[in-house]
Amino acid sequence: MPLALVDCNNFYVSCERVFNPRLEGKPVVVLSNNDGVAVARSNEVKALGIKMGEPWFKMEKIARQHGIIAYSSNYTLYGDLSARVMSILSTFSPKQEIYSIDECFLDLDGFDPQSLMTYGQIIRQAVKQSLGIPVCVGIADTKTLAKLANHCAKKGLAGADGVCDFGRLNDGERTVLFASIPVGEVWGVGRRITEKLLTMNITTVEDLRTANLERIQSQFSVVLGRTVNELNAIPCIELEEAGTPRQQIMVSRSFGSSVTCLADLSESVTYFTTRAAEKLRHDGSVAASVCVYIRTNPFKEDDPQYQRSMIVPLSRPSDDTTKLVQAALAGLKAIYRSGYNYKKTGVLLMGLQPKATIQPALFDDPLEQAKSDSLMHVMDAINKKMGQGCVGIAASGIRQRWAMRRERKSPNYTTDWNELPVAG
Amino acid sequence: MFIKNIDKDVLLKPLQIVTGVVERKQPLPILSNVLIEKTDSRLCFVATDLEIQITTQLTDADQKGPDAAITVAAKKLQEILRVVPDGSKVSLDIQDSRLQVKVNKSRFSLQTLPAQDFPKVQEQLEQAEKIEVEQGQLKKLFGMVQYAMAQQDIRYYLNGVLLVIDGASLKLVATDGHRLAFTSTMLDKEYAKKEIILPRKTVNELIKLLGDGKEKILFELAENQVRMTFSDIVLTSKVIDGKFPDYERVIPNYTNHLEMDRLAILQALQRAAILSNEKFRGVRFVLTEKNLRIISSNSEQEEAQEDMETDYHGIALDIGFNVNYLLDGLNNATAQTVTFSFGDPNSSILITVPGNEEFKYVVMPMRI
Repeated sequence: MPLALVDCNNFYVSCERVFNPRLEGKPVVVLSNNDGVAVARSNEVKALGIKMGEPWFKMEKIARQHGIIAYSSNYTLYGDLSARVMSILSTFSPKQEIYSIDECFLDLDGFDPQSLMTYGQIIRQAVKQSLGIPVCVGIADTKTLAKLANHCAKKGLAGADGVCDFGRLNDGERTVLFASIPVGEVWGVGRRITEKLLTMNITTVEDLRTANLERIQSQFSVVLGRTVNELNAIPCIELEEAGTPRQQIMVSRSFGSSVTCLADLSESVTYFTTRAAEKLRHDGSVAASVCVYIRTNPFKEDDPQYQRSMIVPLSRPSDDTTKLVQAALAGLKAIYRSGYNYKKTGVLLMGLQPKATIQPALFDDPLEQAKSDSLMHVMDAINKKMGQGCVGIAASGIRQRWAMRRERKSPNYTTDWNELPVAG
Repeated sequence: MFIKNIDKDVLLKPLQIVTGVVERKQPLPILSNVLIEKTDSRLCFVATDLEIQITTQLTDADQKGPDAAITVAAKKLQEILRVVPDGSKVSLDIQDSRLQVKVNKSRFSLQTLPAQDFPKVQEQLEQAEKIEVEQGQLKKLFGMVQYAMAQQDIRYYLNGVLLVIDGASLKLVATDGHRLAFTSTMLDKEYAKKEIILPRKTVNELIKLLGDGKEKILFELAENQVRMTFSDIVLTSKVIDGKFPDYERVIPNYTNHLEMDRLAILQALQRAAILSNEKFRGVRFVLTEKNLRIISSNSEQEEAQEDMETDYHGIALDIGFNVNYLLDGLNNATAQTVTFSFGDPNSSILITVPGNEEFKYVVMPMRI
């Protein structure tokens, strides 16, 4: 049962390059929210030895030397381009699992095993031609192997041209290849597991593939046991189409400058809850409780540190912004302590379930429910038509002094009429 | 010597009675302790979590030593006594603010805290209404409603059982907002009207401690507190200060009935429950002329179906429920047959026992 993992190369950087072709061949980084650390690097930047997660202030000097161009992350743009990539990829297989913003699995069951390399090239060209985004394709019999094949395709370890099909390797070639890849590259093998595997003399993918299954399961978990099986081409992890609905929705940001007063924190919590509630309604879900958290800046070691979170349950699951904001603010009031410089707040909607499955309650007021539903519907409709944040809860503030720094953000080329790219 | 040569079981029993209220995690260290007071030949045991206090005593413990009082970790002492051999004699001695427990050739030395620091609940029982009920009967009544109590709901007034004294009748109501259980009984005489909400933990402790027989329990119901006295036990509890929802409004009156053998439908639902969705627990009732079909399915598209012959002649209905709610009601309604009464598919259903007006169980449907 062959399947493919298609992964976009340096996705955020590639997105920036789509609308700004001058960036081709130049070193480009995309920074996290508040222009904190590098979250995407072009190959040129990788070649300069800049690591993932490197703080911007530490690399600013090298950046000037080598002319590195930095962008603030523009998730609106990346999200929109991701949807377009996935939509193109979905035409290449009856079954697709969107695994993350920049990668998806495609089921290739029933395709001619001899032509899969060619098919991979067709996929790459289609995405490149329609969107200008480079992708790599890894083909193998299990999801774990497909991930690994994709890694090989990216690094050019097995064949060039961004496509790697493990089905084309014989046992000997596979052993040599797997023995050359560190075990940490395997899907699901993180740093901690890698360290523990090292003590068992398992350092390469081949070591793990040929490891004693029972020993792995007893020393680690059944999950790593599945990984070993998958490396041996025994499928254990199924393709999940249509994605399981989200279990929770998180909206959190660090502030552009530190915030001390409850009023500003309340504004930000209201704003984040509003955004989370919009996502919730978009999914057709309701939340059972709201978790709110605040923290100071742990990197300012001289500042007094404080962080706390609180879960506030709702009396009945809801998707009503006003109810969720009420709960979040009640939680914030309970955990707020004055005298600290806060750097970040966040809101997490928990206990999500489809709205259609809410258990009706004995003491509900159906009229109130209908009123809430139509108010939310109107708000969402206006915001969709007139732009995000056109109508909202007044408590989220007007000036929003706490808003995050995004000094290097590219325009929303594909989602805002005023920011469309102009040719010529 | 504090307590000398007492039979292990004699000492263990009162400890087991009071330690139910002791929480594992305590804000105040002394709340993990049991207070043991010796006055003449009487031994008194007290434990509390500040909301509930349970007191019990050994009236004739045959102890001749001087009067004394001490507090010691309740669960540890209970555990020690539980595992020493049956028939052993136990002696307790207070030495340098430690409690020495001696059993056969075993010695245990436990930390103590002073008895005068023990936060006994202040009694506020002026103008309390007093009623008496048979223990066995009350235990049965609580059993018929307790499962419907809410658990840690932010509507704090639902985390307990409502007790209503109305003329000569006593009513018990519990609801978590999705289902409601109601039961009532006649009292020996007329009383002034009174409504209190007993906290969930009090209800659970009370059910554990109540006997099955005709011995009476004395209730003293005051504004903020209730005291229950029965079989050498005194249980004092705060009551929940809040307004219980209008339960009478949600008990429906339908004309569309289905009578079923309780065990038959209970077992059918238990089977269907195995393949109902793990999270939402939905089952469908499809009612047609003389037939009830119960259908369940889970997220893996596995399905169960049960067909039951009935005497149903009402309108055809397709209605979904949380199977756990139905199982709770049917498990606790101790009768041969039960009656389901239906409105429309979006309305609650009522489960009753034929010929018995004293039990009513209302369940909201769910969309499936």
